[in-house]
Amino acid sequence: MNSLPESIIPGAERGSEPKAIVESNTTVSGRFVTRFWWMTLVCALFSLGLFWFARQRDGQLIVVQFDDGFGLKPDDRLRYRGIDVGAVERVELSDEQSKVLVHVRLSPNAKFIAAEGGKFWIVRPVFSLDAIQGLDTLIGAKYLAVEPAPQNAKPQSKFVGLEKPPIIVPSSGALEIMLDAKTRGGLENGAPILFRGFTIGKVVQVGLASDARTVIARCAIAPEFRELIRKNSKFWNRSGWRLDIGLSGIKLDADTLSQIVSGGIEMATPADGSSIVSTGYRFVLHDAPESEWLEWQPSLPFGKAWNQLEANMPQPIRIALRWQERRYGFRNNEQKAAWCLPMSDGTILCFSDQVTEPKNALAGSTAIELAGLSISPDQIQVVSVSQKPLNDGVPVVVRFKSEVAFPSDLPRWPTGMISKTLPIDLCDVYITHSDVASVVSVDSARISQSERGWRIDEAVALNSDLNGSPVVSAATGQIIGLLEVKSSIGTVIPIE
Amino acid sequence: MTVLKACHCCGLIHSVQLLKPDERSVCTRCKSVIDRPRNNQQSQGRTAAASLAALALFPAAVLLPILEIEKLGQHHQSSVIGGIVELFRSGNFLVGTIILVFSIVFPLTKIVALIELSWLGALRQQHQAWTYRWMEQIGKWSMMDVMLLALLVMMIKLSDLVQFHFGPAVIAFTLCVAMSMIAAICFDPHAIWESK
Repeated sequence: MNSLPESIIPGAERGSEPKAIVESNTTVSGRFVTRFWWMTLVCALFSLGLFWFARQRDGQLIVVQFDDGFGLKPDDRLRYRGIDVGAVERVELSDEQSKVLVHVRLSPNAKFIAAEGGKFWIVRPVFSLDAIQGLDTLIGAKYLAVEPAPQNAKPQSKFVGLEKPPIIVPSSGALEIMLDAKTRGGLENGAPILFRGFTIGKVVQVGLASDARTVIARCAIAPEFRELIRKNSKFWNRSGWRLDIGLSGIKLDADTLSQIVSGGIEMATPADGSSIVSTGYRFVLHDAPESEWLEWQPSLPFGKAWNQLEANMPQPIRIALRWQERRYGFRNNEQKAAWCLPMSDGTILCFSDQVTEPKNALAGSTAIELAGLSISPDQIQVVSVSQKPLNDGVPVVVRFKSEVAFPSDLPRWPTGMISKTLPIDLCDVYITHSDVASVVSVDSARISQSERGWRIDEAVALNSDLNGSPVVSAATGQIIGLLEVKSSIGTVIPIE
Repeated sequence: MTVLKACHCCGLIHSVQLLKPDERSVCTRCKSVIDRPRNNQQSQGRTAAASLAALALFPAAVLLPILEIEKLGQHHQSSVIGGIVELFRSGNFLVGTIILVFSIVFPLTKIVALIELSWLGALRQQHQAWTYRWMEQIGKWSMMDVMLLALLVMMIKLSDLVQFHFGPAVIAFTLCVAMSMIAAICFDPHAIWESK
């Protein structure tokens, strides 16, 4: 029984196994010595690197407290101006279980949000006829929106969230007025303020007065319409609709759908509008208009550009060149009219073809007519001529003096308000002639540079009657040239 | 002094003499290497290096986000551990346990066991043998590589429906799988018995 190896390996004698071949072998020796260790090092560094990277990617953690979570979940986004600046990490109840605490991990580049004064609110779909907002949250996730504090605010990591989006901050330059009303009467934040049915402002906030006697609506009037609000303006509530049932039938009185829902405030200003109000002025909000108010039709200039023009509009006058020429043996009367601009130094600014005798005119037949006077070409003296050569048929701008005195009541344009060359960059311009109402405003996008001046796009329909009208730069209020209209294409010709 | 040793490849038994440091014995039949002097030390070294590397990568692989899914504006990112916690929270205890055991407990045990084995002499031979047998059993059920495959399949199948991004953990995960495989391959069980 002691010959166990024989029974395990049958047919084999102990000691008859072949001897293994012995070869030379070179290996590094020593305990744990192997080149593999560099791999360990690399892997360990890599792992650490990943953790470090992940930490870097995680921004600051802030906590926002809400009364209602509105179904906000972890991984919902925090958005500022429509882009993600963080994510909800977890949502939990506060210790006393009366508040919802939303833990938000900010993006590393959104540190500025964690500053005192930041406003947070949960965006959820809002349906009203005035505004349909947050539609992206209907199918997709709800999200947290933020209105960060102004720069240099103190860092802070705990915030109290708002129940609703923050009230509309009136744009800069808006006129803020207060309206005192007896009842709220369906007024909502964001309700429009209408002038002749046209929205000129918004109700920013509706609240009770501090003594609870009235309801105060804070309203912001858009800057371009602030001149419409005068001290004797009247405001009345046009909330919802009015149903009058009488003998003559049923009368339903309602305006736009959004007014039915959110209400609106109508206003009117009498024709003899008194002075313009400033921010904080209080008006009474009436329940209904007096019939007289609806009749008011003031012609109020408003808007910045409008004001500028009103105060400072060139008043060109008509100039006509009359002459006689012989055609087919007959004497024919010919006439060419345009606008010209009397200047404060007694000269007249106009196109050269309005004051030069045509080639084929009969001698002594030419006369220049303006401001009720008829002047012969000999009586005028051209003061300044554009440096460009006076080619035939290509009019340039000239200034001329006359021996005959012009009437003293002629409106005159100050010589300082003229830009002798066109501005380097295209700008918005006004083409002015008889009155403010007929001013043609041309956007800079419709102007292109051309050889002779600024070419105005054909899309701006220009009547050939506008020939010679002064062109005013909207930016500076200066006259930058005269308008030439040829086959309904306008060109602004520089003065020099 | 000679010992009997079977060839790993063809099974032929040889008598192997004690080798000098620069020698190795080769099978007469198939020419594969039967024995190296102190080969246990080199394999130990490699096993130790690879398994320590795997251990270093393991936390990154399970703790960092492995998947970022974006579907209809809903953003979701989760790590392996996070996924398991979520499974437990939603009441899927069975699935949660299976994933926990097979992708975290077993792989981690295997790595730790390999480190322990590579530290020959630190433990008694019987204990080492026991550890080795256990490691062999557990290693079969360590499913990290399978999970990696599952991730890949998911990516291919779902890429039309949702937006997929792999998190930083995926690289750590892949490397960890590779390292633990290298460690297991490098380990020579004979070394347990030859160290004494």
